[in-house]
Amino acid sequence: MKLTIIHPAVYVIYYLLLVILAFLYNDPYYMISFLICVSALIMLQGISREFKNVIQFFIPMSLLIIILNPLVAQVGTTRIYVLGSYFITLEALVYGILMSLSLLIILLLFASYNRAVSYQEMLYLFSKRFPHISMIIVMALRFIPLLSYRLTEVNKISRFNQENQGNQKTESRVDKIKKTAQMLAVVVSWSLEESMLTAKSMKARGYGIMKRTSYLSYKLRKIDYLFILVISATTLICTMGLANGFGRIEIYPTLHFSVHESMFNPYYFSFLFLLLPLIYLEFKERLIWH
Amino acid sequence: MDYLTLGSWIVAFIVMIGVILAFFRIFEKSKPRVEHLVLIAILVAISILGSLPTAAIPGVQAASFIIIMTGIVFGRETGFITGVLTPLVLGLFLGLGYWTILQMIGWGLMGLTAGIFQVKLEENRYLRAGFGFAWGFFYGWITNISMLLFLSSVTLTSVLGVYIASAPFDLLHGVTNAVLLILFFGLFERIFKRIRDRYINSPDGEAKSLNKQ
Amino acid sequence: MALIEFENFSFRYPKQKNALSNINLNVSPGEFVLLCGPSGSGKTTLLANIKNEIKPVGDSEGTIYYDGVDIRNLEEERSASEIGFLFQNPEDQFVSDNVLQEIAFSLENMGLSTGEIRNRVAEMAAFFGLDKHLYRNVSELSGGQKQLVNLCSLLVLKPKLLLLDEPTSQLDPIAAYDFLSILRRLNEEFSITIMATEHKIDNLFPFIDKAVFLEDGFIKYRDEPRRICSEAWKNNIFRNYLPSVTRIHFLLQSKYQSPNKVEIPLNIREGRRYLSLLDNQLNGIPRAQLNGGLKLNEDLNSQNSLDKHSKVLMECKDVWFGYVKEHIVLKGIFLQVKQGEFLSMLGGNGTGKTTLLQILSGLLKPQKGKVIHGKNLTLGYVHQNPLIHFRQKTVEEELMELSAEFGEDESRSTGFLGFLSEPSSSKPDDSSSDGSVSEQEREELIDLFGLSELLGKHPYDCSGGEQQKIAIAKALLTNPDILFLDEPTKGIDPVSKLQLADKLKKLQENGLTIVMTTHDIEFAAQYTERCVLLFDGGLQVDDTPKSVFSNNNFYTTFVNRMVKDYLPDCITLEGVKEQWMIKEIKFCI
Repeated sequence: MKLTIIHPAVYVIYYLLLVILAFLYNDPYYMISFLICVSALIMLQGISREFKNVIQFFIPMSLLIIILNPLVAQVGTTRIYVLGSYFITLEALVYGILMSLSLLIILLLFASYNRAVSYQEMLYLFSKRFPHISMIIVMALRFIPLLSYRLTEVNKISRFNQENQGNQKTESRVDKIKKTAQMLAVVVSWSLEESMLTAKSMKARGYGIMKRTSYLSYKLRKIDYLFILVISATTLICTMGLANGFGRIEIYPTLHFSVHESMFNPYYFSFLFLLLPLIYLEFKERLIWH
Repeated sequence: MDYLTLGSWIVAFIVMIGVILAFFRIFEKSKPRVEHLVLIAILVAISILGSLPTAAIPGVQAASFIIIMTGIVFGRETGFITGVLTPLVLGLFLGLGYWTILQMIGWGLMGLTAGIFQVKLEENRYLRAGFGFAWGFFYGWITNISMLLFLSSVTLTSVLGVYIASAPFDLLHGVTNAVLLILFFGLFERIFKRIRDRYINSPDGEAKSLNKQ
Repeated sequence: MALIEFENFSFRYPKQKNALSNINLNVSPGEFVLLCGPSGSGKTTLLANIKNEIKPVGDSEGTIYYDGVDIRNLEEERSASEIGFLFQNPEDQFVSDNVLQEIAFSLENMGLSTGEIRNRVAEMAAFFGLDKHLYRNVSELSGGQKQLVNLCSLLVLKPKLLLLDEPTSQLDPIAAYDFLSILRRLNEEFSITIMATEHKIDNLFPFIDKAVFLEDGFIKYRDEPRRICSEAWKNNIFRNYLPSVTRIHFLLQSKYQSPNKVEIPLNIREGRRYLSLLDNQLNGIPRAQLNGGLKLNEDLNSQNSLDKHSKVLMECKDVWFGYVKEHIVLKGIFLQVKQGEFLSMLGGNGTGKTTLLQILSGLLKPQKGKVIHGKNLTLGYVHQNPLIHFRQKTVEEELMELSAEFGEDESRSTGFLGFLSEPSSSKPDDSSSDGSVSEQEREELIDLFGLSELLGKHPYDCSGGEQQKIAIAKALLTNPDILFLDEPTKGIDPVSKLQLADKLKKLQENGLTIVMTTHDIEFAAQYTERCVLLFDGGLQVDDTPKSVFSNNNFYTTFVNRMVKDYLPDCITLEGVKEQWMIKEIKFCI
C-alpha cells in the first residue's frame, strides 16, 4: 500500500511544475542532474512495470525526435553534409538529442506521479466539482476486470462451439476479426443488460438525492505548508535564473556551450533543492518501513 | 524550447483542458439519469477492453469503433463523454501522461462528430466507412501534437514529417475502423438501440426488466 | 402500528394484465416475512413497489403505507436510508472496485460528513468481520462475501426495513446458510423488519414470522409458518415450496395417526421429535418389507445403475490444473464418463467443480494429464450464466442460429433425439438425423422444453428458468453425445426445477449422457445416478447418490438428516414414500 506523505493537490502542483521545467531547461548539466534525481525518486518509489512501459514508449519516440529535428529544421549554422548538397545542421541534431532527454525526464515524471498519487486521490480532487463524472470513472474502473472476465468466458464458449459444430477450417484474418467482434458483442449486450441493475442498486441506495460527500478527506498539514514554501521559493529562484540564462544554452543559430563553464552558482543549487524534497520524504519513509 | 513557444503550448493545453472541463460542467448541470451514468461507464469499460493489449482479443483496436457507435446511437453528448473518459480511465489503468489530454480530445471529438452526423451516418454505410477511415487519420494527427512539442520549430515541413512518420499507423487505424463499421454496424446498433429504447429514452422500459424475476 | 401496509393494492405493467391484484398485507415492525411463489407470481414486483426509487413503471391502484405515510409521499432521504433493497445477483450491485468504497458509497450519497462515514463503516466492518477485506478488490471476493458487502452497504444507513429479492439464490449452500443466519441475527437482535423472497426455504422457514404465498399476483395464503403449511399442503403446486421436514410430516400423517396432537415440525429437531412419537408404528413396519424384496431390488438397481453403463465415452487421466502455481485447483483427477449416465459433481465453493467440467468439455486445457474421448464425440455445454449463450434478437433466431452456420460435414452414429420422432428409440442410422438436428426434431425439442410461447421474445426478457431451458435446448441442437451443465438449477424456483429435472431425465433415458455440477444436494440425490464429490483438488467420493449421502452426516439432504435413524439410506422424499409405502394424495382444487 502506498503511504500518502503529502496532500494530493500539492503533489499535482509539484509534478506539473517539474514537467514545465523539464521543457524549459536545456543545459546538459541541468538535464542530467534532473534525470538522476527523477531516476532516484523512481527507484525509491519502487517502480518496475511502469519503467518498462516508459522505456518501450521512449525508444521509438526519441529516435523519431532525433531524426526528425535535423530533417525539418535547417536553421543552424554548422552544416553537416550528408548527401551531396543536402545537409543537416549540428544545432538541430543537438536540439533533438536534448529534447529526447526532456522527453525521457517527462515520461519518468509521469511514471513517478502515477505511483505517488492513487486514482482515489485524483478523483477526490476531481469529485467535488464533477461528482457524476468521477462516479462514471469509478464504475468504469470496476467494470474493466468484470468485463475482462466475461470476455474470457465468452471466448471459451466461442472456441467450444467452433470445435463442436464442425467448422474447423483454417481461418482467415477477416474470420478472426469477425469472431472477435461477435464475442465482444455478446459481452457488450450482456453487460449493458446487467448494468441496468447496477443503476437500480445505485438509486436504491440514494444516489443523486443530495450532494455527495466523500469517505476520504485530506487536510493541508504542516508538512504540506513547508513543502509549498520550499518549492515556491526555489521555483522563484530558478525562474530568475532562467530569465538570466542560467540553465539554458543557446542552440540556434549557433551552438554555444562550453564544458568548463562553472555550474556552481546559487541558481543551480536552488534547482537541486527543488528536486530534493520528495526524494528526501520517500527516503525517510523507506528507512522507517524497511 | 523558448519561452514564447512554451507559453503558447501551455496556453493551448490549458484551452484544451478548459474545453473538456466546460463540457463536463455542462454534463453535470444536465442532471443525467443514473442509467445514463452506468451506461457510459460500461461503454468506457468496453472501449478500454477493446484497446488493452492484455485483453483476451489480440490485434483489434476496437475503442474507436465503440466510440463512433456510441456517438451514432446515443448522440453527441454521450459520444463525447465516452470518448473523453476512455483515455482518462485507460490512463488511470496504465499510467497518465500529457498525451492523455490529446487522446481525450481526439476520441472526444470522434464521439462528438459521430453524434453530430448521427442521421447521415446511420443511413449510409459508405459514409460510415469513410467517416471511420478519416477519423483514423484525424485521431493520429491530434495525438501527434505530442510529438510536435519536441521539435525545434513548428513549420509545415516539421508537421508533415511527423505526420508522414505516423501515416502507416493511422492507415491501419482507419482501415480497421472502416472494416468494423461495415461489418458490425448492424449488430452493435441493434444491441445499443435495445438499451437506448428500453432504459435511456423511455421510462417505460424499466417495467419489463423488473417483470422478470 | 404496521410498518408496511398494503391497502387494496394492484399493479399493472403497461399493456399487460395485472401483476399484482388486490393485495392487502400488514407487516409489523420487527417481523420477518417470507414471500414465496413461482416465477411471475409478482413477488419482486411487490417488493419493488415498496421502494420508491426503483418502483416499476405501470399503473397502480390502492395505497401502500410506510409507518402511516403513503409511500409515494415518503421523503427521498427517508426512503433511501430507512428502506434497504438487496438484489439477487451480488455482482451487479457493485459500483466501485474496493470493499471500503462500496460500503461508504451509500453514506456518501446521503451527504454525511467524513467523520460520520468513517464511524459507521468502522462499526459495520467490525460487526461483520470485514476489516481484513476493506482494501480488497471486489473481484477477489467469493459470492457470499460479495452479498455480505452489499448488505453492509445497506446497513450502514441504519435501515428499519430490509427488502431482499432472492438474496441467496446465487450462493452456494454454505454461504447461503451463513447469510441467512446473519439475517436472523439482524432480525432477532436488532429488530430490523425483513421482507424476503426466496426459493430454498428449508433453512429459512423455522425462524420467519409470516409467510405469504403468491399466485398470479394474488395472495394465495398468508399466515404464520405452521398454519400456512397445512393450507399449502393441499395445493399441488405450493406443497413443493414447503420444507422437506414438513412434507415428510404430512406424508406420514396421511397414514399414521400420531398419538397426540403435535405441532407441525419446521426444522430437523422438531421433525425428529415427531418421528420419535411415531416410533412404535414406524418400527412396526415389517422388517421383511423394509429390508426384503423391495430393498433388495433397489440395491440391485442401484448396483446396476452404475454398471449398466459400461461403454466409457470419456476419460480423464491424471489431470492437473491451476491458474497460478501457488494455488492448484485440480490435483491429479481420474474420472470416467460412461455412456448414458447422469453424473453430478458436488463440492464446496472453489473446489474446482466448474474447472473440472470445463476441462471435460474441452473449454479449458489441463496443464498436465489428458482427457481422452472417442473421435466423433460431440459435446454440448451450458454455462452457469445462460446469458452467455445468447446473441440473437429472439428466442426463435437463437434456436435457428445453428442451421445457418452448420454444414453437413459430419456423420455420427448416435442420435439421442431419435426418440422424438421414433418412439421405439432405436438408433437412427439413416443420414437424415446425422450432424445437426432436422427441422422436425427442432420443433419437437421446442415442444419438449415448452418454448413455443417464448419464440418471439428477446432471450434477455425471459425468466431465469426459461433462459436455462433455452440454453439447454440450444446446446442440444448440435445433437451432442454428452451434455455438460454448470449449475443448471441455480436461482430457479422449485416448480421449474421439477420440470427441468423431468426433461433431463427424459433425455437421459433416451441415451443422452449428462454431466453436471451442482450445489443442490436434493437435486443430485433425486435425479442423478452417480455423484462425485470434489475436495482439495481430488475426487473424494465417487458412488451412487444413495451411498454418498447416507454415509454423510452433515453434507446430506434434509430428508436423510431427518429419517436417518429409521431409514439410514433413504435420501429423497420419493425414497421415504416407497419405504414407508405412503401414497401421496393429490388434492384437487
